[in-house]
Amino acid sequence: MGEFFAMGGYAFFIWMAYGMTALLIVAEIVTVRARYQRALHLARHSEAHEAAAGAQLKEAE
Amino acid sequence: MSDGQEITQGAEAAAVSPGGIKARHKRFLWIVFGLAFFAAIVALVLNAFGSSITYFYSPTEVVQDKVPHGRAFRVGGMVEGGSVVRDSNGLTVYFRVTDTAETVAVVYTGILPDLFAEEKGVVAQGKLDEYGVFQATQVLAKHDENYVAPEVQAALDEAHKNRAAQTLAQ
Amino acid sequence: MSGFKYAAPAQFYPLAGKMALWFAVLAAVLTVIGLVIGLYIAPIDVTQKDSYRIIFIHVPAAWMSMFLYVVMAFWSAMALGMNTRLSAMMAQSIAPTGALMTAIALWTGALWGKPTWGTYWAWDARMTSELILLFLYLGIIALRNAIDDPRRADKACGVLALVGVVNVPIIYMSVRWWNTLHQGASIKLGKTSIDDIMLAGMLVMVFAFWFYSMAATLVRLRAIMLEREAGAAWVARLEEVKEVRKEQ
Repeated sequence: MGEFFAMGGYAFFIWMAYGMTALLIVAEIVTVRARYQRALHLARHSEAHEAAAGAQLKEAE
Repeated sequence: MSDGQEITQGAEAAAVSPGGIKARHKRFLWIVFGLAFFAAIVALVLNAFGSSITYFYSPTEVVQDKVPHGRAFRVGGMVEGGSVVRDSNGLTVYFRVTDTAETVAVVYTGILPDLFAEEKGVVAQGKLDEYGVFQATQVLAKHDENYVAPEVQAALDEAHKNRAAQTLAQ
Repeated sequence: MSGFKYAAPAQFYPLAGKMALWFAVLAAVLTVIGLVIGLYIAPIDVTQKDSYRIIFIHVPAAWMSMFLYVVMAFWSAMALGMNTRLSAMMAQSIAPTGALMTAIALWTGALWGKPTWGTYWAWDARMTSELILLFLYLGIIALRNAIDDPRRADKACGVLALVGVVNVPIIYMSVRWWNTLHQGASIKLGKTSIDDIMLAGMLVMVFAFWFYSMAATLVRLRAIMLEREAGAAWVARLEEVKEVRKEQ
């Protein structure tokens, strides 16, 4: 196991490369999903939607 | 400034820039970033066209004096087999860089990259002295695009040796 | 002709969602396989020993950085030429992922360069043009955020994307046209100079990065569609948007 992480003495370079890549990918995944959630929120509370929702509620009365 | 005046000024600012003052500041920052990136691109491109975009000159170009004068430049090629000599102090190294047509003598004091080896690629940065010796301030190893496992390389070397022996025997 | 059905955001939105999910799963599976091959199964290189293993991220990221830019330029041209909403949104969704791939290529390249060449960075044609690519992506993103009106931003970003696309063949040919520190291509048409197992690992990772980029871009595209068409009827009819009414 130790041999694997040592990577023949190149551990610093290899794990900095792979580590930063993993970090950046995770950051993008988190960011883009958050953007989608915000956009969904925007769509749910947009004027047209609320007008349509209001109209439906009125019909139900 | 009274509260009334501040509110009016805030409302005016919001009216001029949709989203309010904060959005205007954000947009301003993005414009600054955009201009900075644009400037960086232009600077890099102009620099590439100005100075030669070539990273190094060949030994032939050095010998034919097709290199810049009065400033540092880089010479690249292969480390000539058998040319590497280390000084007794251990830190200075002498070698020749070749492109198979011409060679240039190089002297360098400092740590060499792990991959520096005879008959392997090298790029040295520095100046040519009055004796035609290249006084290097930096030596980099240049490797090729081949990726071979050690056993495969050993097998190739064996086969090469056998072919050479056969040719000699004939 | 049925393909044109998906030219409208309303039709493409659900399809993009399904594609994103499948691509994400494929990306994850291929990444695991690729990492096992690259970090464990593949042998060391006779010259570079273990340090060459950075290739399994560096090359896929570099290829994606160039590929994504060309795709972005294509959709920008479509948007400028045909003025379709979806084309502009496709172009808009690619830039951040493209920038990320370029950043990964530059970072991993630097960490590979130090133990092999002896330097983290060199201003040779390959590295300089890849850095310019990063600035192009970032410039397009900055422009997008600086311009309020989406349609005006589409045009400005589209023009910058198309002006910059000439950089992509320059990056690719740089190692052939000029003397560079960066080595030439290991994979050429009809000929490779790389061990079979190493090549297999690299190709698996190339596909992993490709599927990942598609997934990230499609999720961003869906967000952009909702952002830009928030008041549209088709958005109001979406299940995930209608849901909210139950809570009210």
